[in-house]
Amino acid sequence: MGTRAQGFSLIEVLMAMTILFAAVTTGLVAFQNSQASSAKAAEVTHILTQIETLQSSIRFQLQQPVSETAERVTSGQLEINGVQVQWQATPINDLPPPARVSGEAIQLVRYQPRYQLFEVALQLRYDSSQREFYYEELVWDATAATL
Amino acid sequence: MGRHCRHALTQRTYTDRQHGFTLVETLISLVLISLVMLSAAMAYQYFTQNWQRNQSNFLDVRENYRTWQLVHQVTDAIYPKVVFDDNQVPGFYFLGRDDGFTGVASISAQDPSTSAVFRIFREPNQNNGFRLVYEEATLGQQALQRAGQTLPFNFRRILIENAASISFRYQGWQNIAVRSRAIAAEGFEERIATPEWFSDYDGMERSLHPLAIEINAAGVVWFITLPDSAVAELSRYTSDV
Repeated sequence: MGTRAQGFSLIEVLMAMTILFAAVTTGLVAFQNSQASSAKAAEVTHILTQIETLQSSIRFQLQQPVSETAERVTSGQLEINGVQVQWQATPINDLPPPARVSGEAIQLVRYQPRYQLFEVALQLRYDSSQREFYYEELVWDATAATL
Repeated sequence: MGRHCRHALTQRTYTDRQHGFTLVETLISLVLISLVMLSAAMAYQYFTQNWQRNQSNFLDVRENYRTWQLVHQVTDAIYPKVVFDDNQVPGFYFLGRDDGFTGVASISAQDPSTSAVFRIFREPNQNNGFRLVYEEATLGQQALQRAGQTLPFNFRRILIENAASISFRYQGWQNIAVRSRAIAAEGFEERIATPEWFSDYDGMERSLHPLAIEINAAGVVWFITLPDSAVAELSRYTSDV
């Protein structure tokens, strides 16, 4: 008994060290991962904060009255609180209001297309995070003429 | 008796086997343990500091997100509120200037069950730019009846910390007379008037509420649309002959 308990053998020490290092490394990796995801979450939250303001901005831009000479602005690039934004609206529908019965002569009055539906693709980039959003926006031209 | 004997026996074997550590061994092991402890403590401190910094950054961002959500909800709930001036003339509680506006919403950022008077305005900051500030006074049980009523604006949040420029514009009709003529002419070919953009809009002076607010923060437009119910709202307070 006395000879056996002289100390740890090399193998024992190595095994203990391996286990210790494995535990420490796992802990470190988990910690670093959680820190990276926390930073990522902060970035994404910052991106999401801008969405509603951006949507109102895009609606405003699309709702601008279009003159005969100028084209409607359907894309743009801007920066809001450090977030790089790129948007692109593609028209998917352009419809007239329903026909109306006029008072004097009994006949249907039809209108030019007045309501435009756009599909908006929104791309936001902030530091290393990037998010894409798609939604639809309805705009109308109050001055559309009758047919 | 037997128990006592066994105890004495184990005691003896133990002392026989272990002679104890020498002074040098103890010192070396103490130095080693303290080194390990020291580095572990340093590493722990470093990690917690790092974590705290990271965490507080996230909390700030989350707080900012929350504020914006609440403010968007409040601006969506703006409604034309009729109040009386000192001469008992009704008008709307809305005052828009180039540097900000004051309005009434049916909810507040502090408590969704009560209406609130709020203002959004620009304020110069230290970097020669502007910050966009939201301030609010909840109405609670208090009724808003007079234009000159003093309110406690005790809730303040900064929406944008630094923008090169911030300007405000208001879309609406010139005044109630123009609006009434435009309503009378509805359905005819000729248009009497259309809403225009103004750099200031006083709801008491014009007896009208704006239709939209544009906040332009260095090229980024925040566009708030408002309900077009001012005329119907006012008609409850005036009598047509």
